[in-house]
Amino acid sequence: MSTSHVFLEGHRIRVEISSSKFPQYMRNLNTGGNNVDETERNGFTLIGHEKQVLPGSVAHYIAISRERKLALVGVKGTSGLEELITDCVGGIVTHALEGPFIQGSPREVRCHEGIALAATRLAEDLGVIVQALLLPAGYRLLITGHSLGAGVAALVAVILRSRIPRLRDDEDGVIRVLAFGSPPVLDHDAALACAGFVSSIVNNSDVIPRMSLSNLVVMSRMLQAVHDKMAEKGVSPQDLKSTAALMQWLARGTDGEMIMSVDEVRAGLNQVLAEVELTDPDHLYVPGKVIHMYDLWGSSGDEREAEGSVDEQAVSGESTADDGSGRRRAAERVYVGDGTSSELRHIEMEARLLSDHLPAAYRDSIQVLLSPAKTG
Amino acid sequence: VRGAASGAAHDAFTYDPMNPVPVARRRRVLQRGASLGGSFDQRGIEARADVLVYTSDVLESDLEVTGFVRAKLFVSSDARDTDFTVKLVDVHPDGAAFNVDDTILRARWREGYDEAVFMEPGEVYALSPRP
Repeated sequence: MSTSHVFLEGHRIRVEISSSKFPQYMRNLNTGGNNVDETERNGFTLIGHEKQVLPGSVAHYIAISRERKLALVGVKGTSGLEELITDCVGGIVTHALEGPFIQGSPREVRCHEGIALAATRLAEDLGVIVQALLLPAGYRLLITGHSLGAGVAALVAVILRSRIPRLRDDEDGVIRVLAFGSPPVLDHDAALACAGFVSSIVNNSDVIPRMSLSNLVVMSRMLQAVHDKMAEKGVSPQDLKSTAALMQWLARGTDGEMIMSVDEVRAGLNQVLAEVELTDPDHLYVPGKVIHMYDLWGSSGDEREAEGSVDEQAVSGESTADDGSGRRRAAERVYVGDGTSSELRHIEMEARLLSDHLPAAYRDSIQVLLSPAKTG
Repeated sequence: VRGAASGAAHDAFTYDPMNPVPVARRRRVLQRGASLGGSFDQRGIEARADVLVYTSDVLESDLEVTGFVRAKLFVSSDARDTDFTVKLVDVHPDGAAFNVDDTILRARWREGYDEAVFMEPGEVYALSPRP
């Protein structure tokens, strides 16, 4: 280190010691290996790694555990949130399958076009390996991914099951999907039908699993309701110079009165939800069984957020911080439902709707939920 | 600079390569390729369980620091190799903690970059992360 700096009177000098500064410096995997292409981890050996991302295809890896007779396929998500949002609001198409993906299911699903394209290509590659190598050797298959990768993972499983009858045997659980922060990717019936082999995990207010056309309909109708209410009170949105000004005004209301009470908002939302047709062919849902990790408003999560003392956080040993500029909520409770659960049927308009989507936020929540102290 | 943790003979932490200490940066989720440089409030990072934090008393007068800043660490690890980071931070009266500079050393290169020398568990090594 070299510097020329004046520590001013009243300031303090601090030194931090740790073992990583990511992503500026590559992580040390602590194995003593070269840290670059080490392929052994938790008993898994890397057997394939497609790093290249082309339009309509996704990077992925395949690793196998001989001991557990398990093949793990990891599908890469999008590198940026803009891309993901673009992907999610893209066209919805009917994708023809070669056969049913569960007994008696239709031979076509409605899904997002870009995800269908990426999943079809990946299923081509994987299908060969599954049929020629993994199934004859008695291996099971676990496909996982985050974000776009999660959506692709679910659809790959649907496609593979439609092609390979052996994979449809759910009692064996030959193929399973763990989808973290998946966008809504399947139509109503298909999303529910894959609950036997797809588990989607949703963290708190993550906006991506809620980025569906039906939720945009819900949101626009809610905005319309607010707009009508404003007109009733004689205010036009044009009078307000910015979104921030609008938000401030909405919170403050007129003459100390809130524009809409919480009960009014809730009643309005319920009414809008009842009006939106769940089985509309253009409405997609988060696939399979949905495990929603959340914390309650005003519960310990918010308290922890509110307290600003660094020392206390350090003593409690909870690493709730991420990028140094904010404290993150970690989920403390779990709710199990499906893609049509009310928690997912509207966009949570709050500050963390994007940061709750980040892989690190998922990891934090899972760590808190799995820590032995919380299970008591 | 006094120890934050205690008067214990040593301070310890667990580094998990799957959950590395991030670089602090401006909170702009939608901005891609955000620059890594710059001085940002480190308090979020300091709250992590895998970051040791040592803070001096309040300075009674201005203190200019110009030149090389050398750190000497006495470390022991149950891993054959790991990295050690040192960060110099200016703590403002309101508690905001801004990074001044930092450095990193991979333990296997502690005797020079021409030969990797791995650590033995239980042994204590003196490290001088270079500029």
